[in-house]
Amino acid sequence: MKKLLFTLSLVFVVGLVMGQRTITGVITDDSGESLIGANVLAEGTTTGTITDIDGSFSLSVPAGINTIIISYTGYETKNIDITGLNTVTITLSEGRVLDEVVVTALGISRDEKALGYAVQTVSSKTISDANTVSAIDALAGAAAGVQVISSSGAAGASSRIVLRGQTSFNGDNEALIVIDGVRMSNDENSTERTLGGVAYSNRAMDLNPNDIANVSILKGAAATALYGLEGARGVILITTKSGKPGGVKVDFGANMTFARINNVTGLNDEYVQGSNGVWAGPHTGASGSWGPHKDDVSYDGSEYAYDNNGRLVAGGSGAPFVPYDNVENFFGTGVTRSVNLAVSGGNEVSNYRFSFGNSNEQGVVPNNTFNRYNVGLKVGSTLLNDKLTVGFGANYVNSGGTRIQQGSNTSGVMLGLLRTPISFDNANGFENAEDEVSAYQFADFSQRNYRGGGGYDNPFWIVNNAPFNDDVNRFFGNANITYEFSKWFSLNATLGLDTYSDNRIQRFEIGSRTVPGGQVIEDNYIYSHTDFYFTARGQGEIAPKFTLSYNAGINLYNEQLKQNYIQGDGLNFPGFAQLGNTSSISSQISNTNQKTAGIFASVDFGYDNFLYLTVSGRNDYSSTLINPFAEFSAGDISFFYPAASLGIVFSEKIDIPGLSFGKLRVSYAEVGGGAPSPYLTSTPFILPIQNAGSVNDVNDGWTNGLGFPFAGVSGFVLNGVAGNPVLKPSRTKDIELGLDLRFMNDRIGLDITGYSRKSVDQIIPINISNSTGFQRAVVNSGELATKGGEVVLTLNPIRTDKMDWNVGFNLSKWKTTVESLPEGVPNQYLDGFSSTAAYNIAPETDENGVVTRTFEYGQLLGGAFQRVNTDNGTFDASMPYNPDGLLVINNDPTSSGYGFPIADPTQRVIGNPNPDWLLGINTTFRYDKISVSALFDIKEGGDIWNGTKGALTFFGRSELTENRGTITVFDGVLPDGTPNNIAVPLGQSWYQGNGGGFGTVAEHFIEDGSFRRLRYVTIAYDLGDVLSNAGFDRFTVSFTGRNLFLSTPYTGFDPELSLVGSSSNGQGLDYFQMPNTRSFSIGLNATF
Amino acid sequence: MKNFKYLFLLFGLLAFTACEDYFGENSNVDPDNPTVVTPNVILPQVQARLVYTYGGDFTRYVGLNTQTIDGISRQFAVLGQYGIQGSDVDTPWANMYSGTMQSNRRLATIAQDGGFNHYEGISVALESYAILVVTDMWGDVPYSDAFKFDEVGVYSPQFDSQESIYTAIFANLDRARALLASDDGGNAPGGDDLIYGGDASKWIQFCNVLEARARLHLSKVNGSSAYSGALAALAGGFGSSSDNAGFPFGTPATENAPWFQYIEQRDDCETGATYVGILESLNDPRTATYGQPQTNDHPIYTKDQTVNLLSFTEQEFIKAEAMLMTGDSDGAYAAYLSGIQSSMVEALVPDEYDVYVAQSNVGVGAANLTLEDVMTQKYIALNTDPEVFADWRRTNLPALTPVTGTQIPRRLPYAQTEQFSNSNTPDAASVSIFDRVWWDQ
Repeated sequence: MKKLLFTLSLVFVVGLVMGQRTITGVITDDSGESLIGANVLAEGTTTGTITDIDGSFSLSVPAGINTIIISYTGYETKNIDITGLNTVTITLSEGRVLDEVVVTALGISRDEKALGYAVQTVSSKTISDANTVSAIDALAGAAAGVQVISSSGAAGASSRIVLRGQTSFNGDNEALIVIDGVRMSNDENSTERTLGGVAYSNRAMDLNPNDIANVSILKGAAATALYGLEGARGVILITTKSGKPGGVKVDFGANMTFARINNVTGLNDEYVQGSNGVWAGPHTGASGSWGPHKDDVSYDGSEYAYDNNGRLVAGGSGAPFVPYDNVENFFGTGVTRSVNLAVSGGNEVSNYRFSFGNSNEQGVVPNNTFNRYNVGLKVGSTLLNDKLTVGFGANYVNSGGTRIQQGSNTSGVMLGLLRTPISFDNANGFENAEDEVSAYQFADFSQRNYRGGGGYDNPFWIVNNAPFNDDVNRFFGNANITYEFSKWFSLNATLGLDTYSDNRIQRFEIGSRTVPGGQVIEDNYIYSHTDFYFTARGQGEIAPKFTLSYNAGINLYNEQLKQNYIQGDGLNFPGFAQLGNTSSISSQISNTNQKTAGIFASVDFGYDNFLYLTVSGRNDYSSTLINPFAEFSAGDISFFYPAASLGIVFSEKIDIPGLSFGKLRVSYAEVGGGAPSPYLTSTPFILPIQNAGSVNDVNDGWTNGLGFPFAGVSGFVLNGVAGNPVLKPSRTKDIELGLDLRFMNDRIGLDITGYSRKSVDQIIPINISNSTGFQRAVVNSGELATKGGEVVLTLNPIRTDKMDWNVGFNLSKWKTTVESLPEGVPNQYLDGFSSTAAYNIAPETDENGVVTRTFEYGQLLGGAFQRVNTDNGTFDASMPYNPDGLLVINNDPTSSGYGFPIADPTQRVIGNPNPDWLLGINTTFRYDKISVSALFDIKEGGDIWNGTKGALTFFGRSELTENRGTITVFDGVLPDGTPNNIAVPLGQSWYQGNGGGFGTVAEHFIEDGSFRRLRYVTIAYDLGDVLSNAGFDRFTVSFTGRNLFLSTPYTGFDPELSLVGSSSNGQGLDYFQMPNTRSFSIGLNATF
Repeated sequence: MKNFKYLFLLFGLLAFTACEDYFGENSNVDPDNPTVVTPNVILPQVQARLVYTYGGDFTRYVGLNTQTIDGISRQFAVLGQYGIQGSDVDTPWANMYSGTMQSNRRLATIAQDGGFNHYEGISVALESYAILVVTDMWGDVPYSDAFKFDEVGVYSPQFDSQESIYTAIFANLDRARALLASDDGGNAPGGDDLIYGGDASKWIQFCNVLEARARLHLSKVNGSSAYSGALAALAGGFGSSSDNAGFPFGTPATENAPWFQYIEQRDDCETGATYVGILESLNDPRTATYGQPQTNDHPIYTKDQTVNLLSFTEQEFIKAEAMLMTGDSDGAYAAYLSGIQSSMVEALVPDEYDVYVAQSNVGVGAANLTLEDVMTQKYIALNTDPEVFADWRRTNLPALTPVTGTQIPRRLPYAQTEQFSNSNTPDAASVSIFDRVWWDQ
């Protein structure tokens, strides 16, 4: 067989010329393992071969060629000078960022230097060093142009990944995830509304990070055009690990992580429950901590159901009062255990890899868990003299957990926890109160909470009585077959399948504040998609120095999601939260199906390793554009879009001292797309069920409202979202320029990219005037523009056999602005609260219609104070908001607001949640067997509405309110412009009015969300040598610390969190979501 | 290169012949939600949403102004200090225009196409009710331009003057009565009419009492013709409280009444101290029910409370006021007593009536009856009904002292969603909640 391969290698080398010589060699990796299938190419020619199962090769090199290029996916590419040599031994290192073969669209491996657009690769090492349960979290800071935002520190919570800003007003803006050539669903399904409920997973959570061989990040449209509109958001292209020919190899890994909350919001530690300085105990239901100072009270020792020490009395005569630390008592240590096992191997014909993984995460919130099992099998075979290649990958995942209520709902644990005064012990003195019913419930089943049973649920009650369980069973995989007729023509068929069921149960026992009567929701999703490609490919030299490759094919994509939602309200008796025990049941079934068919072709020209040109085009047909009221015509749902990119490797022609590589990239691409979801072309009637979180709910802003059927009769409402039967495709246009420079034998790499993108004819349901009869309407206009740049600097200051040190900088900056909204629509709501929410805002124009000001994506709009905004030092309501202007102070002595700042009657743009720039600094240092890697992550700018602090201020619970009783003169002016000189006391009335978060003003709770964080440090030691006698090739012990250091001006919890989950475009909102964590872990990885 | 040709042939086939097969006939039709429905499934939703909004959000937002309720904690502590802003009323605004009136327009269209006159008449009557509530809360609002989005694409409806809206309401009520008096076209409402069970004659009474309510609202601008107009309409009014336009909420968890739910789930309000004070000053037996603190065992705010859109009680007080103001004090006094008696039944204290009206400050006698007596009794009887807000604005009775500052709000602020998405909305800076609506000038 070896001989056969050898012969094949010879056959592969066509076009031999006279005067050639033969060079033989062996290629291994760092550990001495032979690399099979590595590419060996004589420089400047198309003459090449691949290594056999011993890593050996033999190549006939044309005369005059003295360099061969060795490359292998995921490894560094080496240029070897063979002058005077006949035999070489070459070692390739894994995971180098410099000069390599990268995986591009449709899974085609290409030499990075041939690309006319930016692609960045993240290695499996970076992902394992980051040591996260979610593979997406491991990408934070790992590449330029990538922003990862975690929705919460809860176990199993989703993370949002956005590449280079937004392309859609309110559709999906997250990157498309493609695994081994086919799409993977990354949906986040929400059972309850996004502002409350629990922190869900998004489906990328189902990936096993240990199966990832490398990740290619395709950012610009030229790189992703072949994926259609979804690709315009950027593509995360994941290649999974394969078996390698050779003996059976076993990889084993185990990891244990301990986590604590990393950052606590500032709380009032001084004042007890009550009002106007007088103690009012839990039995009164008092909501605030506006009671006396803790030093002015003591316990009277009386019998009191809410405190074992009795009631509080003024003065210090009784037992001394000691504040309770409810936050400390509530959060525990989160523990994550992960085990991974992979068995791989193969021979010259076939290879296989079988993997098993389990991650079991117990969150810092009691009873919050997430568990995931992964089983994967990947098999590949090369048959019929290498002409036929078949392969498949199959993955089974079981994931899910127990999630806890958070956010804006009276059952959210943070809501109840942070509002609890220092004078009430949620734990009732118990060490592990989550296990002690008497901590949170009285004998009569009523709740023991700080508001005498009203207000908010005791967090310990909630973690026991309102569990949300999800159980996902998922299969995803692909099968592919390729037959190579000649190097000019091969056919490939690839079928990807992704299907899951997600069975969820949300239970509310009788007695919660949200659903006092109890509730059970069974919410089941059945999802599947197929992604089929049939492509023809070929490549070769068409003339001396001219190379050509092409691919052309079809893509059929078919997606189906079925949701069965059954809600039972009103439990008949406690302790049995099942649908059968509810007094009324309503249900909703929804099916969403969509299909896309595409034809594409792409041609790459290469000239003399110097010029590379790629031209491609794709034509799509999308079911989402079908007008159900008109005759079907393929032309109505068809759209074509072209792309071209050019790479000029000028270092091939111009010799610049010190410059080892230099390339200029330029590309232009258009991407077309259908509607973001099906059925936007009609306006159906909807049967409203109770509190579904939809525009069609029959309720008010405060209660759960009604559901149909009602009293035995059915009821339908015309959908509040008006469909648009005639939709034309949306388009994104993208220009990218880049410069790739490497110096000093590739030890310094500098890659600079600039891009400009426009997304026009957006298809979105936009908020419209309700007096039209609709709350939203599907429109087909509007424009977003993004301008941005990226700088990637890689340094390799030390590179010896014993020691290797790499430092990488990923700097990104982008700005997505709203260039236009549909005619007559001034704002588009994204997400948030009625008082403060994220909006896209139309540009301001002067009287001639000339744009005078544009706004970035997703501005925070809310109440402001009147601030001086005129030249004469006064406030004018018709003038623009001036955030830096002096406050205008009320000087009407009859007014209750006398001496305090006046609220501006107009809602203003009070915050911009988009960061100014992001910088990730990663470093890896290896000395012999010890390696250290670290990632330092900086986000500059990006406002966050600290709604948590606003609400806590109202309740006298924020640290801010410790200044109560202070007499102050607000720094501002009186309405006539003269300086304010009115002294007023700060206290309950101010903070419960506009001084707090429930007043009409929100601007004082907008904070800078910048941060500098040490995202992780991993130290690993390889004991492989010591243990080689025991049969180990590699035995690595590693320690990882995550979020070890965080510096931020933000006064709330971690500024990286986002209340609304991964799928929402309304970012920059903080309202009682779960906090983030700091963790330490120990892991071991062994190979034998 | 021969293979290439076949390949492109294959693509061509797919694109131009197989496309329709691939996408199929129902590729973009929502299989779970109908685009065509019958009147009997639209009507219940329209009624339920209208009543839930009228008896829920509106009672609270204007109850703070009329001091029938007080805002105690959280957001309502701010609202209670007249801190209301546009975003607070987004939900009722959307409920009235989108969920109620737009669906109701569709009901009217379907009914008209089918010749189902009773359905159409009920639909027109309900729209008249809804737009009257909306204009009374907000003043000038979109109406003639509203609900035209799906036909002619009006994104930013014009705001109509309140005066023109009143004119339209009176015309609509004439039309509703005519439709209800004609045949049902073979498709009459029954159990799907949760208010009257499809009884067209009661809907005609509804139109009459609604007209009386609307005529009375114009007492400041129209003077005595407002009263005579109201009395003329009431010639065909309710015969007794069994004719009340009451919507029955239910005990299942998805059917509970708005106030029960509010107390159960939020509980940030309390029965108004002013309201209770007036009850107590009159030694009123309704203190034991209407005057009770807000708890979930409240005698009135039960799960299955019936919330009235219009009631016989209200009608009697309309009559009493109109007769008193037009010089018929005997008639006024009889209506006044009738209203009190009817209210005592609703307040679950029917047996206390005789003792109560024997009090000299209640049973004042026809000769001594004052507008203040009538309006005070109406204020007590209507309890949290938002109509009290219109009464107070017209008559300044009962006399109220602002909770803070020097003024009590006389309208709701325009919804923030409307300010944000309808360029015709008056600036927030130009209309204050203390500004008077047209009929309140």
